[in-house]
Amino acid sequence: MSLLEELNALGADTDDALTRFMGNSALYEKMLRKLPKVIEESPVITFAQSGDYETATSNAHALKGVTGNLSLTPLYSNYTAIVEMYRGGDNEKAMELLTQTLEIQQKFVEVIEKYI
Amino acid sequence: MKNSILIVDDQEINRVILAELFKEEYNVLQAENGEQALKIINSDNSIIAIMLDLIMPVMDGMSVLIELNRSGKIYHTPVFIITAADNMQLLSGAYSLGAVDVISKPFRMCFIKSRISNIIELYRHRDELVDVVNENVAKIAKLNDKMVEVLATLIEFRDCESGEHVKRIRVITMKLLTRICEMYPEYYLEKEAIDKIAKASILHDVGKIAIPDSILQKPGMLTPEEFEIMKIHTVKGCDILAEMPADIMDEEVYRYSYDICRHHHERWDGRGYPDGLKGDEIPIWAQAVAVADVFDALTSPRVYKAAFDYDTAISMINDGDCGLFNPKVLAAFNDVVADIIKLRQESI
Repeated sequence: MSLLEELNALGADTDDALTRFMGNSALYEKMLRKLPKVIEESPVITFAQSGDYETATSNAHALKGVTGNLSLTPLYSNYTAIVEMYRGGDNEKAMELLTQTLEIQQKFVEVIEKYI
Repeated sequence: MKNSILIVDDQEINRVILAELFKEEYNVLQAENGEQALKIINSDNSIIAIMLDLIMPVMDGMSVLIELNRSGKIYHTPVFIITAADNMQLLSGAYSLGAVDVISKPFRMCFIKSRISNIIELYRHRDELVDVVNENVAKIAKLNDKMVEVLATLIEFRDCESGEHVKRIRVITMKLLTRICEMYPEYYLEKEAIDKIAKASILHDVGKIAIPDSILQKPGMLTPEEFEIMKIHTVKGCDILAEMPADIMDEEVYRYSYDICRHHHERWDGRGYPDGLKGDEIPIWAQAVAVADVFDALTSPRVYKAAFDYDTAISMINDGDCGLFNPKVLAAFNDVVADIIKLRQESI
């Protein structure tokens, strides 16, 4: 399987993403390879655990935008919900969803890192 | 050269997608925070649109919008907000700071390009219209100036002059007043004001339209009664100005014209007319036009006299043969008269 096929298997919509990248699959894949670094630079759980929900929200918001633009649908849907939960003050529920999301996210990162 | 668009987002992935969309049509500039964005905006005049993320480190998008409002650039460059559309309060704040539209994440490419291109086109069209309006305003102002000039020239023709007198008065007033301001700080005027006074000076004798031909064109000395009638041209000039449509000339030019019409025959010792003003009761612009008028009248032939040579005219003015003038105005006049004569000889 190719990178895009593997991502689709995890629930991504790479056809949608390719439309966004004007059909430039090389550029799309290049940006996908940047995702692990973006995730590393925008930790959510660390800040949530230390009670800094403002930074946690801001980082979740950043990941929502990036995963949305890369059409990594499961991650995008979860980060959208997490941002809403933090903004609504539902921090416990957000932590629960965040824990599940990190597992899914790890699978995406593992697939991407195979192709770096 | 291509116009530029600026993409401001802390996430490279988001910037790259938008850059890919616009790279064929525009020179794409990128910044990863508000501070970098402002540096680019302030140093690059080719930017015709800005795509701006709101939540960024170092300096956020709202701060950029505030700065663009402060500098006035927001009125000339459309700003599109890049957003995940999950904070309505922030978006509402961005709109109230002049953002024109929102680019939602995930991006929908087919819409983004059209929306941004449409607004860029709209701004371009608006700027063109502003240029057209400004050009027309300038044309109307020029036309009004010409009409005032024609009016002044017509009066000179009636006075059996060629119309050159008013043109010379304008140039002499400009030269003389500029020198007065250079020499005496108490009379300092901005260059713009001097230009307006010079423009206003051509109307100094507009009141002569109310003087009968028998007096205006009399080829000899006026009787005391005739001179009394002649004197009223100063007041009549103001009456004529008061009847002119309000917007035919600049408000300041109007005010200078009024003073000049009324007071260009006042003299430093209070023995002039119509009000017998003395010293600096006479506005400095009227004092300058008075000397300019006398010098040009003395050195030009009139129905009642031949032209005096320049040296004689200068002596007559300095000796008070045509009434007393402000010593400072005379000093400035003596300083520039050689230039004035040179210009006259070149047919100003």
